[in-house]
Amino acid sequence: MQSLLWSSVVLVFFASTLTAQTGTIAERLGYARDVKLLILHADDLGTAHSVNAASFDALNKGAISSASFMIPTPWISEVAAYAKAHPDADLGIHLTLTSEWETYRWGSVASSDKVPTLLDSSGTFPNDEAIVAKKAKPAEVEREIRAQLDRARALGIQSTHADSHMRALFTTPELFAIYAKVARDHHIPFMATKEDPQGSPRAPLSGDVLVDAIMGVDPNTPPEKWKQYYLDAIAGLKPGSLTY
Amino acid sequence: MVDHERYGSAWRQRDYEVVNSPEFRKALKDNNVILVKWKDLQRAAQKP
Repeated sequence: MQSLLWSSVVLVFFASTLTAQTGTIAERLGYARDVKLLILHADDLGTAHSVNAASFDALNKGAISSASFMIPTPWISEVAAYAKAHPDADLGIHLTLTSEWETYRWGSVASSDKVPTLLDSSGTFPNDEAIVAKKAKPAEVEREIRAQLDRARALGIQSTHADSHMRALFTTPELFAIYAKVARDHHIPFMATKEDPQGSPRAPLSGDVLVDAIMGVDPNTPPEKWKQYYLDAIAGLKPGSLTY
Repeated sequence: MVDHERYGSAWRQRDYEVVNSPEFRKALKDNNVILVKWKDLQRAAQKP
Protein backbone atom coordinates (compact mmCIF):
# COMPACT_ATOMS: atom_id res chain seq x y z
CA MET A 1 0.00 0.00 0.00
CA GLN A 2 3.05 2.25 -0.01
CA SER A 3 2.17 3.78 -3.35
CA LEU A 4 -1.33 4.78 -2.44
CA LEU A 5 -2.30 8.35 -2.06
CA TRP A 6 -4.37 9.05 0.93
CA SER A 7 -7.08 11.37 2.00
CA SER A 8 -6.44 14.00 4.58
CA VAL A 9 -7.23 12.79 8.07
CA VAL A 10 -8.78 14.81 10.84
CA LEU A 11 -9.48 13.83 14.40
CA VAL A 12 -13.01 14.79 15.39
CA PHE A 13 -13.20 14.72 19.13
CA PHE A 14 -16.15 14.24 21.42
CA ALA A 15 -15.77 13.76 25.14
CA SER A 16 -18.96 13.93 27.02
CA THR A 17 -19.08 14.36 30.76
CA LEU A 18 -21.98 16.78 30.91
CA THR A 19 -24.99 14.97 32.25
CA ALA A 20 -28.06 15.35 30.14
CA GLN A 21 -31.42 14.25 31.42
CA THR A 22 -31.04 10.86 29.86
CA GLY A 23 -27.27 10.51 30.07
CA THR A 24 -24.32 11.54 28.02
CA ILE A 25 -23.76 10.58 24.42
CA ALA A 26 -21.13 8.11 25.60
CA GLU A 27 -23.55 6.52 28.03
CA ARG A 28 -26.25 6.32 25.38
CA LEU A 29 -23.77 4.42 23.24
CA GLY A 30 -23.08 2.02 26.09
CA TYR A 31 -19.71 3.39 27.20
CA ALA A 32 -18.54 4.81 30.51
CA ARG A 33 -19.43 8.47 30.78
CA ASP A 34 -15.83 9.66 30.82
CA VAL A 35 -14.51 7.87 27.74
CA LYS A 36 -13.15 9.95 24.91
CA LEU A 37 -15.12 9.52 21.71
CA LEU A 38 -13.20 10.11 18.52
CA ILE A 39 -14.05 10.01 14.85
CA LEU A 40 -11.00 9.31 12.70
CA HIS A 41 -12.09 10.88 9.47
CA ALA A 42 -10.65 10.93 5.95
CA ASP A 43 -11.92 13.29 3.30
CA ASP A 44 -11.50 14.04 -0.41
CA LEU A 45 -12.82 10.64 -1.55
CA GLY A 46 -13.60 10.77 -5.23
CA THR A 47 -10.58 12.86 -6.23
CA ALA A 48 -8.51 9.89 -7.44
CA HIS A 49 -8.59 6.11 -7.61
CA SER A 50 -5.57 6.00 -5.30
CA VAL A 51 -7.30 8.17 -2.70
CA ASN A 52 -10.36 5.93 -2.87
CA ALA A 53 -8.32 2.72 -2.60
CA ALA A 54 -6.37 3.90 0.43
CA SER A 55 -9.51 5.20 2.14
CA PHE A 56 -11.51 2.03 1.49
CA ASP A 57 -8.62 -0.04 2.80
CA ALA A 58 -8.45 2.01 6.00
CA LEU A 59 -12.23 1.89 6.46
CA ASN A 60 -12.29 -1.87 5.92
CA LYS A 61 -9.55 -2.39 8.49
CA GLY A 62 -11.08 -0.04 11.03
CA ALA A 63 -8.01 2.19 10.90
CA ILE A 64 -10.40 5.10 10.37
CA SER A 65 -14.05 5.26 11.37
CA SER A 66 -15.53 7.67 8.84
CA ALA A 67 -14.86 9.45 5.56
CA SER A 68 -16.39 11.98 3.22
CA PHE A 69 -16.69 12.19 -0.55
CA MET A 70 -16.73 14.98 -3.11
CA ILE A 71 -19.59 14.70 -5.55
CA PRO A 72 -18.11 16.84 -8.40
CA THR A 73 -14.91 14.76 -8.63
CA PRO A 74 -13.99 12.27 -11.39
CA TRP A 75 -13.88 9.12 -9.25
CA ILE A 76 -17.15 9.57 -7.35
CA SER A 77 -18.78 6.59 -9.10
CA GLU A 78 -16.24 4.33 -7.45
CA VAL A 79 -17.28 5.73 -4.08
CA ALA A 80 -20.90 5.03 -4.94
CA ALA A 81 -20.03 1.41 -5.76
CA TYR A 82 -18.19 1.06 -2.45
CA ALA A 83 -21.12 2.58 -0.55
CA LYS A 84 -23.49 0.11 -2.17
CA ALA A 85 -21.25 -2.82 -1.23
CA HIS A 86 -20.66 -1.50 2.30
CA PRO A 87 -23.96 -0.12 3.60
CA ASP A 88 -22.59 0.18 7.14
CA ALA A 89 -19.73 2.43 6.09
CA ASP A 90 -19.90 5.92 7.55
CA LEU A 91 -19.73 8.09 4.45
CA GLY A 92 -20.58 11.78 4.52
CA ILE A 93 -20.72 14.45 1.86
CA HIS A 94 -17.69 16.75 1.62
CA LEU A 95 -19.57 19.71 0.20
CA THR A 96 -17.40 21.21 -2.50
CA LEU A 97 -17.11 24.80 -3.72
CA THR A 98 -13.39 24.87 -4.58
CA SER A 99 -11.10 23.11 -7.06
CA GLU A 100 -7.55 23.49 -5.81
CA TRP A 101 -5.43 21.63 -8.37
CA GLU A 102 -4.10 23.75 -11.21
CA THR A 103 -4.62 21.32 -14.09
CA TYR A 104 -7.05 18.87 -12.52
CA ARG A 105 -10.33 20.60 -12.01
CA TRP A 106 -14.03 20.20 -11.36
CA GLY A 107 -17.05 22.46 -11.31
CA SER A 108 -20.63 22.68 -10.19
CA VAL A 109 -23.28 19.98 -10.16
CA ALA A 110 -25.96 22.61 -10.68
CA SER A 111 -26.19 24.02 -14.19
CA SER A 112 -23.51 26.68 -14.65
CA ASP A 113 -26.07 29.31 -15.62
CA LYS A 114 -27.75 28.79 -12.24
CA VAL A 115 -24.58 29.28 -10.17
CA PRO A 116 -22.40 31.78 -12.10
CA THR A 117 -20.87 33.38 -9.00
CA LEU A 118 -19.45 30.02 -7.91
CA LEU A 119 -17.42 29.49 -11.08
CA ASP A 120 -14.28 30.99 -12.56
CA SER A 121 -13.76 31.98 -16.19
CA SER A 122 -13.03 28.35 -17.09
CA GLY A 123 -16.33 27.19 -15.67
CA THR A 124 -14.71 25.41 -12.72
CA PHE A 125 -14.69 26.20 -9.03
CA PRO A 126 -12.06 28.68 -7.81
CA ASN A 127 -8.90 27.37 -6.18
CA ASP A 128 -9.22 29.36 -2.99
CA GLU A 129 -11.97 29.46 -0.38
CA ALA A 130 -11.38 33.20 0.06
CA ILE A 131 -12.72 33.69 -3.45
CA VAL A 132 -15.86 31.80 -2.47
CA ALA A 133 -16.27 34.08 0.53
CA LYS A 134 -15.85 37.17 -1.64
CA LYS A 135 -17.80 36.29 -4.78
CA ALA A 136 -20.33 33.55 -4.13
CA LYS A 137 -23.95 34.59 -3.77
CA PRO A 138 -25.46 32.73 -0.81
CA ALA A 139 -28.53 31.68 -2.81
CA GLU A 140 -26.28 30.05 -5.40
CA VAL A 141 -24.27 28.30 -2.70
CA GLU A 142 -27.46 26.84 -1.31
CA ARG A 143 -28.56 25.76 -4.79
CA GLU A 144 -25.24 24.03 -5.42
CA ILE A 145 -24.92 22.17 -2.14
CA ARG A 146 -28.52 20.99 -2.41
CA ALA A 147 -27.69 19.76 -5.91
CA GLN A 148 -24.68 17.86 -4.55
CA LEU A 149 -26.84 16.20 -1.89
CA ASP A 150 -29.42 15.31 -4.52
CA ARG A 151 -26.71 13.82 -6.74
CA ALA A 152 -25.40 11.73 -3.86
CA ARG A 153 -28.86 10.33 -3.35
CA ALA A 154 -29.22 9.66 -7.07
CA LEU A 155 -25.94 7.75 -6.97
CA GLY A 156 -27.33 5.64 -4.16
CA ILE A 157 -25.11 7.07 -1.42
CA GLN A 158 -26.84 7.65 1.90
CA SER A 159 -24.84 10.54 3.40
CA THR A 160 -24.25 10.04 7.12
CA HIS A 161 -23.03 13.61 7.70
CA ALA A 162 -21.83 16.74 5.95
CA ASP A 163 -18.61 18.69 6.05
CA SER A 164 -16.99 21.37 3.93
CA HIS A 165 -14.06 21.01 1.52
CA MET A 166 -11.33 23.51 2.42
CA ARG A 167 -13.80 24.90 4.94
CA ALA A 168 -15.30 27.15 2.28
CA LEU A 169 -18.65 27.05 4.08
CA PHE A 170 -17.01 28.40 7.23
CA THR A 171 -15.69 31.54 5.59
CA THR A 172 -18.69 33.75 6.36
CA PRO A 173 -21.58 33.54 8.83
CA GLU A 174 -24.02 33.56 5.92
CA LEU A 175 -22.43 30.53 4.29
CA PHE A 176 -22.21 28.69 7.58
CA ALA A 177 -25.92 29.31 8.17
CA ILE A 178 -26.72 27.80 4.77
CA TYR A 179 -24.50 24.80 5.53
CA ALA A 180 -26.32 24.16 8.81
CA LYS A 181 -29.77 24.73 7.32
CA VAL A 182 -29.30 22.39 4.40
CA ALA A 183 -27.81 19.64 6.60
CA ARG A 184 -30.71 19.97 9.05
CA ASP A 185 -33.17 19.79 6.15
CA HIS A 186 -31.56 16.49 5.18
CA HIS A 187 -31.54 15.28 8.80
CA ILE A 188 -27.80 14.72 8.85
CA PRO A 189 -25.24 16.15 11.28
CA PHE A 190 -22.85 18.80 9.98
CA MET A 191 -19.27 18.84 11.16
CA ALA A 192 -18.66 21.92 13.29
CA THR A 193 -17.16 22.76 16.63
CA LYS A 194 -19.08 24.21 19.54
CA GLU A 195 -17.38 27.56 19.00
CA ASP A 196 -17.12 29.56 15.80
CA PRO A 197 -13.72 30.66 14.40
CA GLN A 198 -13.91 33.82 16.52
CA GLY A 199 -14.35 31.78 19.70
CA SER A 200 -18.03 32.60 20.23
CA PRO A 201 -20.32 29.75 21.21
CA ARG A 202 -22.58 28.50 18.47
CA ALA A 203 -26.31 28.19 19.10
CA PRO A 204 -27.18 24.58 18.32
CA LEU A 205 -30.68 23.45 17.61
CA SER A 206 -32.16 20.28 19.03
CA GLY A 207 -30.54 17.30 17.33
CA ASP A 208 -27.34 19.09 16.31
CA VAL A 209 -24.10 17.30 17.19
CA LEU A 210 -21.38 19.88 17.73
CA VAL A 211 -17.92 18.61 18.50
CA ASP A 212 -15.29 19.67 20.99
CA ALA A 213 -12.39 19.80 18.57
CA ILE A 214 -11.37 19.10 15.00
CA MET A 215 -7.67 18.40 14.65
CA GLY A 216 -5.37 17.69 11.75
CA VAL A 217 -1.67 17.91 11.18
CA ASP A 218 -0.23 21.20 9.92
CA PRO A 219 1.21 20.48 6.45
CA ASN A 220 4.33 22.43 7.45
CA THR A 221 5.12 19.78 10.06
CA PRO A 222 8.44 18.08 9.25
CA PRO A 223 7.82 14.53 7.98
CA GLU A 224 9.87 12.99 10.79
CA LYS A 225 7.54 14.62 13.35
CA TRP A 226 4.32 13.55 11.66
CA LYS A 227 3.57 10.51 13.78
CA GLN A 228 4.51 12.33 16.97
CA TYR A 229 1.95 15.03 16.19
CA TYR A 230 -0.80 12.43 16.19
CA LEU A 231 0.51 10.57 19.23
CA ASP A 232 0.62 13.85 21.16
CA ALA A 233 -2.86 14.78 19.95
CA ILE A 234 -4.26 11.47 21.18
CA ALA A 235 -2.45 11.77 24.52
CA GLY A 236 -3.76 15.31 24.94
CA LEU A 237 -7.45 14.52 24.58
CA LYS A 238 -9.34 15.40 27.76
CA PRO A 239 -12.82 14.43 28.82
CA GLY A 240 -14.91 17.48 28.03
CA SER A 241 -18.42 18.24 27.01
CA LEU A 242 -20.65 17.67 24.05
CA THR A 243 -23.52 19.77 22.84
CA TYR A 244 -26.26 18.22 20.82
CA MET B 1 -1.08 15.13 -7.24
CA VAL B 2 -0.76 17.74 -9.94
CA ASP B 3 0.40 20.58 -7.72
CA HIS B 4 -0.74 22.03 -4.41
CA GLU B 5 2.24 20.23 -2.99
CA ARG B 6 1.70 20.87 0.71
CA TYR B 7 -1.55 18.91 0.43
CA GLY B 8 -0.23 16.43 -2.07
CA SER B 9 0.52 12.74 -2.12
CA ALA B 10 3.37 12.77 0.43
CA TRP B 11 1.18 14.46 3.02
CA ARG B 12 -1.62 11.97 2.42
CA GLN B 13 0.72 8.99 2.47
CA ARG B 14 2.13 10.01 5.86
CA ASP B 15 -1.37 10.20 7.34
CA TYR B 16 -2.18 6.78 5.94
CA GLU B 17 0.93 5.28 7.48
CA VAL B 18 0.29 6.86 10.87
CA VAL B 19 -3.26 5.59 11.31
CA ASN B 20 -2.14 2.10 10.29
CA SER B 21 0.85 2.07 12.62
CA PRO B 22 0.97 -0.10 15.77
CA GLU B 23 2.09 2.92 17.82
CA PHE B 24 -0.99 4.89 16.87
CA ARG B 25 -3.34 2.00 17.59
CA LYS B 26 -1.67 1.50 20.95
CA ALA B 27 -2.01 5.22 21.78
CA LEU B 28 -5.78 5.04 21.17
CA LYS B 29 -6.07 2.08 23.51
CA ASP B 30 -3.77 3.45 26.18
CA ASN B 31 -5.63 6.76 26.27
CA ASN B 32 -9.09 5.24 26.59
CA VAL B 33 -10.19 6.58 23.20
CA ILE B 34 -13.19 4.97 21.53
CA LEU B 35 -13.54 5.31 17.75
CA VAL B 36 -17.10 6.12 16.74
CA LYS B 37 -19.00 6.96 13.59
CA TRP B 38 -21.17 9.94 12.79
CA LYS B 39 -24.16 7.65 12.49
CA ASP B 40 -23.55 6.45 16.09
CA LEU B 41 -23.57 9.99 17.40
CA GLN B 42 -26.64 10.98 15.48
CA ARG B 43 -28.50 7.93 16.75
CA ALA B 44 -27.50 8.72 20.32
CA ALA B 45 -28.40 12.38 19.98
CA GLN B 46 -31.86 11.53 18.70
CA LYS B 47 -32.69 9.17 21.55
CA PRO B 48 -35.42 10.65 23.77
